Amino acid sequence: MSKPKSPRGLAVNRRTFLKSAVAVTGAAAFPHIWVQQPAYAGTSARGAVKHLLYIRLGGGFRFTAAFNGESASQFNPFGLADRAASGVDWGVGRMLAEASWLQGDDGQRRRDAGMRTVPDLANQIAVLPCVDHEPNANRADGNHGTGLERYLTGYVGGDTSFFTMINYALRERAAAIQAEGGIALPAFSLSDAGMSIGHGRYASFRPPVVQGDGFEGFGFDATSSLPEWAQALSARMDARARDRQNPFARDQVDAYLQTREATRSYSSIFNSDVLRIRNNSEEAVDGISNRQLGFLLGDTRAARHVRLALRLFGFGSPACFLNQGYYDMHSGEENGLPRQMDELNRLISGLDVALKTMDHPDGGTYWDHTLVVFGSEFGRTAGGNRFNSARGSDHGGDRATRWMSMPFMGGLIDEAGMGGRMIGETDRDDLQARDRVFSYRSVLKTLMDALGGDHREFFPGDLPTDALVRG
Amino acid sequence: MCDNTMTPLLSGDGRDRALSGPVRLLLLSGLAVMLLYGCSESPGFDPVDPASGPGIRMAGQEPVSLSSLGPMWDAEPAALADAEPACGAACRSFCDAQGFTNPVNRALCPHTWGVGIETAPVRTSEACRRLAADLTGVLPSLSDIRRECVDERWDDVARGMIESENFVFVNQRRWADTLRYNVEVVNVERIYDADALVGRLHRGEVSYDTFAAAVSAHPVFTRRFATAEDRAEALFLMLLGRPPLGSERSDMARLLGVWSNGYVDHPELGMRVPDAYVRYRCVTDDGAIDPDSSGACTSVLWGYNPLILTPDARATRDRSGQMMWNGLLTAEEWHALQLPGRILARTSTFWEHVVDRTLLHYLGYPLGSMVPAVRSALVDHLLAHDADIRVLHYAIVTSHAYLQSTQTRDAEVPWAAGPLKQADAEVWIDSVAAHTGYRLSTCDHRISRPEDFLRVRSPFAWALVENSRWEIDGEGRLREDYRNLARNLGGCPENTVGGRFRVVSILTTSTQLNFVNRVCNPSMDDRVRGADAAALLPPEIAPNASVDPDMAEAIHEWQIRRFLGRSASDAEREDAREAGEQCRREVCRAEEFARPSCFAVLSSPEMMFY
Repeated sequence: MSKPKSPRGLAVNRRTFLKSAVAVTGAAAFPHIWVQQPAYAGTSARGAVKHLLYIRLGGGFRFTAAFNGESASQFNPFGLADRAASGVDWGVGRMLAEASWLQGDDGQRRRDAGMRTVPDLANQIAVLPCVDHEPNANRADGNHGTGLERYLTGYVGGDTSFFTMINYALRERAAAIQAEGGIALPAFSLSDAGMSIGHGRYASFRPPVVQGDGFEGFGFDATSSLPEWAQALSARMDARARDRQNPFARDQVDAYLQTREATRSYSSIFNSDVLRIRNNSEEAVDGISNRQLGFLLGDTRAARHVRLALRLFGFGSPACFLNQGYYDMHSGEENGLPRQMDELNRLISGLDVALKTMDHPDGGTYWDHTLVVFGSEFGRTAGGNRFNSARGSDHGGDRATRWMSMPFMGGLIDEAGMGGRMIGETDRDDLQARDRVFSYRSVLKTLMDALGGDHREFFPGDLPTDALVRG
Repeated sequence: MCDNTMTPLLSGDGRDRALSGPVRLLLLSGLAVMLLYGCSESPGFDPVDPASGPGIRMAGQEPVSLSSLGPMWDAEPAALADAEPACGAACRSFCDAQGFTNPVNRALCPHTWGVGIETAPVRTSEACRRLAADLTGVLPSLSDIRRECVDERWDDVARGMIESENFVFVNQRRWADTLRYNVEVVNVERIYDADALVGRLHRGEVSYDTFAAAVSAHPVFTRRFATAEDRAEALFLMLLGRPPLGSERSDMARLLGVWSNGYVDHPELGMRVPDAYVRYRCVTDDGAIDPDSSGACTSVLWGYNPLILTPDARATRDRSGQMMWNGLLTAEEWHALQLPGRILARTSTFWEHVVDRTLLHYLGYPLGSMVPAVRSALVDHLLAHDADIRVLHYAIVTSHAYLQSTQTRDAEVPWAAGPLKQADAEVWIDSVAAHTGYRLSTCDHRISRPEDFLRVRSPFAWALVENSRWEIDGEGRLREDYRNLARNLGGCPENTVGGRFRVVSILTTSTQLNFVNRVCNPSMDDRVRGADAAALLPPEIAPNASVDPDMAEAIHEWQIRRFLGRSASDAEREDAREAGEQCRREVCRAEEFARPSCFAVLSSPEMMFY
């Protein structure tokens, strides 16, 4: 794919929007006052990332079959990829070579556009092979409910999601943009409410949860939908409903009316054609059209969410979370995993091309400013066999369940020369950790740090790690 | 069974569908299997009612007759004149003289009327709307209110609603949130069983302590947690409203360590489903109780409470020892396993917590901790009536604290005004749809991920979804319209993590406005499939009639009655006339007025809060 022309002059992009938007949303979205305190336990990559794409491989992922492939067949029954890019430390599983989307005429066009198999671009991906929810625990948490609670919040019974933390951690930045009369979209969860938990002072920082593929359902604008007399009728009904209430009850009505006012300014974003990611538009925005994104990434649900995430980044959103696949294959994994991996691999390869194609308003490409991270609630085990009796895998308390071998890619990894590196190591035969083990919470804190957020309130027992940039 | 399973497959449950070829083939093969299966005497999976577990097997009790409790509605007293700020002799004498029959009123009197604090009056439409939303799950129209509430005693109204199946359903949905039903975590048969158990609780057939004991050992609860300590923590939070102390956690974990998480290959569903196992602990290799290790299976903080099951031919062995699938447990074994819940039910905190929880649910603020006398009175009341949970609901929703109006300017304390609460997503959606005739599918809290069952393409799995509240379209796809809308608003939770939420945010408000915009279609957009114009207009007004102020007033008033369950105020009528006059100048038809008016009424805070 030749690099499309930069979208300067388009009606809607982040910069023009931020300049023109009105600041009416603050009270409802980020109502807390922040007094800056400078002492962060940060990393050398603090603030180096502007956008985080966090993708959950749903249901528990057999990491050893993909990102820690140099393991015995009981852990990786599919073996290693036949070939991989040079300079790759981590074991590139054969599953990562699945690439039906590179076949046929369309496949050739994708190759022409720069797409490659994941093994061919593995030297851009850094892997932490031993990420553990609770490094001090004597067993893994292989339970769906609590494993996912840990994944989404850091703890069992945690009541603040990671993405709520991100919005909270970045509240100062949002307030600064607001003060200049702009709007920066918050972090979003695309289709998963579990990433949007928050109570008390965190409640107003919950990321919006988007069901479906876009914002067609959010773009209501009273001034364009209602005649003036109806706007007045509606406003009076609202005011009377509010005024009738007793002082104890009035706050929540006020909150509704404030958010209702705020939706006016958001509606201009939500009504933007750029966010209609399935409109097949040829118009290049940030250097790439919606049609091109669809061609690269595909049109599966996860692919549509990735495409939407890239567009939301364009409106200043710092992070998007989404689910890809469903890997809880207690049966039929032997045949089922390649199909799911085919989609995952296309996303990795498509993101590699798309992010490098997209011009970032702050200079460089989106690749330079974005970190893409994959995780899951736990790994998977077949109890010492290649597969369980139903040709699938389960999850229990063992090391195969325990280690989440998480891959990271993006400009930060490139810049630090960490592409292809494996930070940590496991024993091939028993998966015993041979090197560093990272707490999952420290990884989350690292991501908040890379985004430049104030993470001091979260995970006080865990520190962000420099490993991704210094090895 | 035979009739039950055949009917929906043959008739499509009364829904008019054009099935595609593959779907028809799958259903026909399912029908063949189910004919064979359903007409046999074989116990097994029934996709119409797959409940299987301890809930449906538990011995029940005779429900308390709510009418036998006597009057629960007390006339509102005037506050004691010249009262002291703290309740003294005059206050006590005043309260005693009121002869309150409702325990909440009785306990609140020394903190309200007896100390000179007036409560707000009860307004019929407002109180009836609150009762209907809380007890039946839908906001009523004015004609509903006239039929159900006008000229009726409030205790009669509340009793009628509590004895309805809608009340059972609303509470089943609440407990689904508490127990976080999730088919990814536990066998769907156990979820249906737990749901049936909650139903029995809210029909008065099972006492609350019996219910709690059953839940403490129910796979829907135990299977959600990986360790005994996590189960102990969650059990304390659920039943006592507080986390356990360290010693309590480890002691209770000795009992809850009997549970183990595993999987079962489900022959009919064609899936490997998650399910609970019991592990035989503290036994010798011969299967006898091991005196040396039995302490590890015995709770000692609340008395001497051992929980040791001994293996027999049903046991299987894995690397960690002997275990058994919960589907093979006998009634006696289930009873033994329910020990943790029985232990906690012996504590006063257990009863106080259920009272606090219920007060918070209906009032939206913690009256139980603000006025502990109310909590205490309700605990006594509940225990005096066989721990039938409906008695507790009945006492609260017939109290002045609950029924009084929110519309007062002088509330000194929260209980001197009625509660104003944000409607749950389902209540709001269902009400908008019901009053406008707008067609939406629905959600079933028992099957959090219906697509998992459709994906396996087993006829039984298909029939399970087909017979649930989920809807499948003619192409065999799940209808997701309701779910997508509700989940944006915090309802219909998948319960993987987090569950239901109720929040006012830009995105939820935006979602609500857009849904109302779709339903009302105020811009008359041809591309929008909104509600029929006839559903937004009084029957005597044709959609194409020319609007004048009188007609505008009639339309607006009719909508306020229908959607908000009350008459329009004089000011609202005047607003409508003014709007009608402007509309008339634009040569406006009735439908062109009714649709924007519909938007104004349905998007008002009065529709979101009740």
